[in-house]
Amino acid sequence: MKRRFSPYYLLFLVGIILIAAVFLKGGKEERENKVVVVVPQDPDYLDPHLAAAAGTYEMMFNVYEGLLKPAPDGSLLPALAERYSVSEDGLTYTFSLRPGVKFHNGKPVTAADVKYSLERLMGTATGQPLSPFFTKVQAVETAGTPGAQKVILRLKAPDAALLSNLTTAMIIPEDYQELNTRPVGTGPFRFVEYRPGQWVVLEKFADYWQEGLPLLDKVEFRIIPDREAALIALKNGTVDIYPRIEPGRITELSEEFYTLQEKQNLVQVLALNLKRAPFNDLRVRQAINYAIDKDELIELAAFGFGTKLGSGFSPAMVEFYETGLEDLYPHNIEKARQLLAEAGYPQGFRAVLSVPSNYAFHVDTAQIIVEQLKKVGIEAGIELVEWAVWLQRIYQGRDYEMTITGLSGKLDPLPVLIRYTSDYANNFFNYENAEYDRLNQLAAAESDRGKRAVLYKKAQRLLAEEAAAVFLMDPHYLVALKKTIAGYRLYPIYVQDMSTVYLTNRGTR
Amino acid sequence: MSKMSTVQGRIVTFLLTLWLVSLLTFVVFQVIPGNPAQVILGADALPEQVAALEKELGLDQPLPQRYLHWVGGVLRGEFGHSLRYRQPVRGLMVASLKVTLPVAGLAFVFIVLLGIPLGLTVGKYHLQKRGVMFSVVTQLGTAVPSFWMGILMMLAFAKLFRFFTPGAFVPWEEDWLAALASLIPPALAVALPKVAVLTRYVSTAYVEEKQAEYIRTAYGKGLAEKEVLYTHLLKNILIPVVTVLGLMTGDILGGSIIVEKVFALPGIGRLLVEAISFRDFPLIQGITLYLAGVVVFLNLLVDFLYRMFDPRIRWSR
Amino acid sequence: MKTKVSLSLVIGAALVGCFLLMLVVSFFYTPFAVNEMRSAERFLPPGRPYLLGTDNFGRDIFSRIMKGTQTAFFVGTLSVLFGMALGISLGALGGYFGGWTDRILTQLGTTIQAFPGVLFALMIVAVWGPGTFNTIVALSITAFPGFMRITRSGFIQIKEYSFVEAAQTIGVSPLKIMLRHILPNLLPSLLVAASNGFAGALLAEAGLSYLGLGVQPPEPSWGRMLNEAQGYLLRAPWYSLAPGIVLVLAVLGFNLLSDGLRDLLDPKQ
Repeated sequence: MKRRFSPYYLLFLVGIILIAAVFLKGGKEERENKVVVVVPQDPDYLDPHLAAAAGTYEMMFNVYEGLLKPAPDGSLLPALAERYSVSEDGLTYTFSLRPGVKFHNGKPVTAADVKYSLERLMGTATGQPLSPFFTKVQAVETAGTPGAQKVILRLKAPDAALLSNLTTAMIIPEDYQELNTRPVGTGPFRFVEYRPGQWVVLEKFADYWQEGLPLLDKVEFRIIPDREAALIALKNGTVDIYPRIEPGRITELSEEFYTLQEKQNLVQVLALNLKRAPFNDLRVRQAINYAIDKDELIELAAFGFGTKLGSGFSPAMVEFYETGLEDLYPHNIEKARQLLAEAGYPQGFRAVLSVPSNYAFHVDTAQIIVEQLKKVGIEAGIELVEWAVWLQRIYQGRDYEMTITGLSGKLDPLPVLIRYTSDYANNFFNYENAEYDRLNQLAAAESDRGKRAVLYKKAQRLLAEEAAAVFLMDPHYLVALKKTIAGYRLYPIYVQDMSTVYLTNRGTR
Repeated sequence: MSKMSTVQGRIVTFLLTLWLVSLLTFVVFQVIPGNPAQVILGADALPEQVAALEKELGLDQPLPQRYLHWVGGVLRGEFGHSLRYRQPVRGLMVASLKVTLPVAGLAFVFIVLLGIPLGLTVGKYHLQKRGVMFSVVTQLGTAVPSFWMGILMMLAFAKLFRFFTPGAFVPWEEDWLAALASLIPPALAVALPKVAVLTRYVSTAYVEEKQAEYIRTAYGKGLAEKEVLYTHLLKNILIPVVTVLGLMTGDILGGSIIVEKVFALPGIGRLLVEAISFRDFPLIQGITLYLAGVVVFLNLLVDFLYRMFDPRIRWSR
Repeated sequence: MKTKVSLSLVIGAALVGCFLLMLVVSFFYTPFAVNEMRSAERFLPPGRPYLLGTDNFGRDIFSRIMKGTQTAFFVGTLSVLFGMALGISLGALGGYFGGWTDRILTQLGTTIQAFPGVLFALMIVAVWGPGTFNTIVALSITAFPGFMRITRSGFIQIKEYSFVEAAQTIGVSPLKIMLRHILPNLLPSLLVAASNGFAGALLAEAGLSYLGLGVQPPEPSWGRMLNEAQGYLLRAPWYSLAPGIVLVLAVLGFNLLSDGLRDLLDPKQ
């Protein structure tokens, strides 16, 4: 079977080696007005209402839009809604649709499309909601005249996170059935092709409502799961933008590239199973907090590209961030030993630290933490688990002693801090605190942003004081780009906004 | 194996092995923890979303039913759909085999092209003192794991030619020549340790055969050196060579899978590792069945070739 | 012929001896603490005081390689022993009794050998998770068909010899015949296979750990070090070179040893 191949290759063998050199050296044709971005995974669904993976949202952010859209600073911009108003009691939201917005298939966006989209998410017709975020919405109504259409949302109870949730409620054409194969939205780029394991290609939508955008003609998301391969692809020019490049690798990049970095609104956390001894003892948890030197950790694991945390919230969301907590437990081995002794572990103890094996960053972090804990007498053994196992056994089954993971941030503090409430389905910390639950409930119903911020800051302080976990760092989002690319904007959420990206020297290399 | 010497017997064993492999893979991957729907949707997905996807993927059906369904499909030549990509398994496998098979094939060609002449040359000038050196050198070659050979080559390429990064695989559709060129370094990494092995075998066989009676008879008949070498010797050396190459194919395939990681190639090894991490059962099943099938088939082939080339049969004619 | 034999054996034995020495020493002494990290001294090239340089955490590579000898020999020894024990008992069973027992066992061996070794290990690791113990299990399972084959064919051959038949007619128990009369005759070829198998186990462990499936961090393993080093290939080439060279030397040592042993013990010569 193999031998049948051989004459074929024999013939080409010599030729290949000669020609390959020529090919690799040979120049390329004039550049298209196109950018290639490397992404690590395939989309789960192209239908925006079914998709749940962050990797899908990151790409399709360019294709679909909601009534509102996030801005790079995390604030909310009007998108398909030109403006909106909220009633005094926080139960009625009125959105005035932006006139003249078109779908990629050329049809104008109507209030009926918006109503259809929201009701599809709410499961009004099927009884099965596709999104959990709109349970407080009682009804969606349309109003206004064809030139000035309105959509009104009536709520059962106030919902402070509604507006930020609406950024993920993508508006699709009414009764359009082919979303999963031929997506149609209103975003700056229209969908062209998806080839599993290879790429997602988008092209400029000429009728985009934002004047002058997008600047590129074409965007390709090249799917390369292997980080090494992604880096090689960047170096040899196959791709132009490499988001989430490993910090240890940027020294390898030549003069042709530059990097941008920003806090990525991610909480890297060392979770301690609070239902298990000895972690049910506050003193033990505090001791671990004192034992871990976060500055050394950031230097060793992230090459300095990280921001120290003190609670389950990232300073990327400045408005809601409680400052000062990161110094609540300064590195102090003596104090850690003392607390351990008080808790009845003067000699320390043994524990298993389970780490998802596919995240090299967490595995590195684990190795450093093991060394740091050793200094106070805690012998932690690393157990690598596959991601699938981690999700099932640790995340859902809550069967672990210590684990490391990254909890991704959102546009609103609610979904971030709700993870620690006692009735949250995936509260794998096993954290239970009535006061904490109460603060979250109050904040969820509060529509005044300032008052919400106060409540959430209190909640963060509580988490830190109770040492609900060891909040390590927000590893910075690092992106490497070719120097010919400009206009790339960083967001506090997982998106690749290509609308403002452009090439500085088209045609030359 | 000696008891099942008939052709039918070998084919029955072949099919039996494949069936056992498929059963083993199926059972093993149903028992282990991990839910494909959860992995596909990620940590932030809600239980309802996961349950809906499970239903859509048919994961709520009982196990034996799923296995029978799968076997039925295979018998009809259908390997089912990948849970994660929602694409036919066959298409995904073909795409990654377009990387792995050329690597393995190229490696095979390199092994034959380098190993046989080297072995003959070494055998021809076989002297005791050089023999020791040679033994150490070939053993050294054998001792180098292909993935480390790959790392060495990466390093060498990066230091020697600053702009040439091996392993930057270009899809065949885009530029087939560049694609082929990018597969040469990994193929060499797989091949070189095996070249050492083949050289050893060929040289040993050469020395042994040269002392054989029929060769002496041939010389006695006054045949020219070259003629003896090509007509008689080479033919008989072919037997051990074919055997050893056949036994190597499993290793070559396995080596290609590891070397794929070194050069970051999108081959069948990566597909399998990903399929496992996503608990993509139909894809795992398809790949294991295929790989096992290839290895078993090649063993079968070697067996038949062996019979065809058997010197005793030929000589008695 | 005789001189060639002993030279391979001498070089092999010398290399293996060196590694055994390193193994023993590593239990009592390494230049630096194996897992100690120094953020200020990462990526130092070979020199003083770090003989082979430091890694991405500022750990001493030489100390880790020394400690890695323990891992390599632990995994190698146990997997060869388990594989041998399993292979010999199953091979003896099949070879001595023949018939259906033999067929089933042979089929089992063929099925296992049908999996490329990497694939098999991948599956084991998927079932029980990565780790030293599971690596040993995986390697033992992939190793036993080889030993089984040798034992089986040896048994089939020797079973026919008159001294075995004589023992059978006297009524000696099958187990006794196997252990006293047949097995000792197979020892030389099994010993050669074991030495060879050890080299194979070293390579397989390194390969698995390189894929991130074998030995767990922070436990040093040569393969795992190569895995971690590859990310810094251009920044710290010595990190990729040192563990690889050590691995090659160890495998070479055992291969030469088994070569030498074969020539020494092979009854055919």
